[in-house]
Amino acid sequence: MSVALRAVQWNRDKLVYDGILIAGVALYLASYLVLAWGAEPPKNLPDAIDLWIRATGSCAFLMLTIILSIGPLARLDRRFLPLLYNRRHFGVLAFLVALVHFSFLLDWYIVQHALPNLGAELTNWPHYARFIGFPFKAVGLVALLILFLLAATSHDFWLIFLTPRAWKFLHMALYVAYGLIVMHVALGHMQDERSPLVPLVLIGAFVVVAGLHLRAGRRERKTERKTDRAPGSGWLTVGPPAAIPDKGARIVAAPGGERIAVFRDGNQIGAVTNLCAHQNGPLGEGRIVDGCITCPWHAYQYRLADGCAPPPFTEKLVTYRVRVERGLVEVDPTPLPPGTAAAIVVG
Amino acid sequence: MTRAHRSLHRLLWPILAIAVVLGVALALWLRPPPEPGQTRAIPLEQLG
Repeated sequence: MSVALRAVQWNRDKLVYDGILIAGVALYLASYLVLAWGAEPPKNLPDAIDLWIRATGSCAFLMLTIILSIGPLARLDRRFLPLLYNRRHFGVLAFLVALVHFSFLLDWYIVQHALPNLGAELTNWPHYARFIGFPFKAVGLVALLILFLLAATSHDFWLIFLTPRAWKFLHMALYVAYGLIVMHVALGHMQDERSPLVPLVLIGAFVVVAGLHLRAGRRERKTERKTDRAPGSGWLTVGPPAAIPDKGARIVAAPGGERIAVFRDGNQIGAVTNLCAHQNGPLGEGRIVDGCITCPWHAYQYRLADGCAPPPFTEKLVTYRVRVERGLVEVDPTPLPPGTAAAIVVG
Repeated sequence: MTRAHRSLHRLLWPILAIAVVLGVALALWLRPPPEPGQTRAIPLEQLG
């Protein structure tokens, strides 16, 4: 198997998204430095570098907080969907800011001719048995390595090469990295800094992110429990045709199986897997645009009739048989081979 | 997300939330009192 590397497919939306991101980072850093410099001007070069360490570190932390909030927010409220569109560039930029944070840390040691001290801190093995005094820089370094791995594999080349399933598992390591970063701050900066702002921001940000993920997860579980089986058969009941929004979908789930998105386009009804072939995005939360099912994440499109992407694209979705019995739409949870025509016309 | 991703997600977040909240609370509870005139620069004697 081989995968061809294609350059990033730039478009106006991506350029605007990235422009806003870079402007936001520049504005945050400038504001932080001006305010902190004004409040307590640095007395020497290490102090000045220390300001940069804090500015870039807090910036990367806030960026990761926003990145991790986008997914569940988009699930809970569709108005946040545009933020998902270029989230990978957001993640790569967060890694770059974290890398600058690390380079300032190295600089801080170098200007004091004390770089070996950093090595000594990281290899002070007895300190790894402590809680307060744990080498917090090692925790940050592990988080940075995870961010590097994720940024390095963020391109579509790796998504195709690793398969969307494995790629998504890999990129769920961001949750662990975020937890490590919170502990990096709690065991490091929070131990020196007596202002209540640090623990408040740290705990507040983590509670918001964790709360959003837990709430979105609970809502998803409810969706799965709601699906009924038609009496006397293995088919799943979706409801009357009118219960499926026109040019939209209802999502059903077979116990132990993947979710199925049942779409209606006027009087045509078809069922496809809820997993987009691109990045396993939730197709059932998308719409039918120009006659094609359109993924809400990156606008990948598929025909309702057979789950095939319109030419020249070649992606195909698993489809499912549908029927109308006693006025109710039902779907057979046995998947058909990708690209099998299975949609029906009702009424 | 596939069913397997959702299962991992549902397992990971409660564990992460409890571990991190406990870790931060403990770090806050156990942090030593501030020393007067504390500085972040490396002490001269450590610079060799």
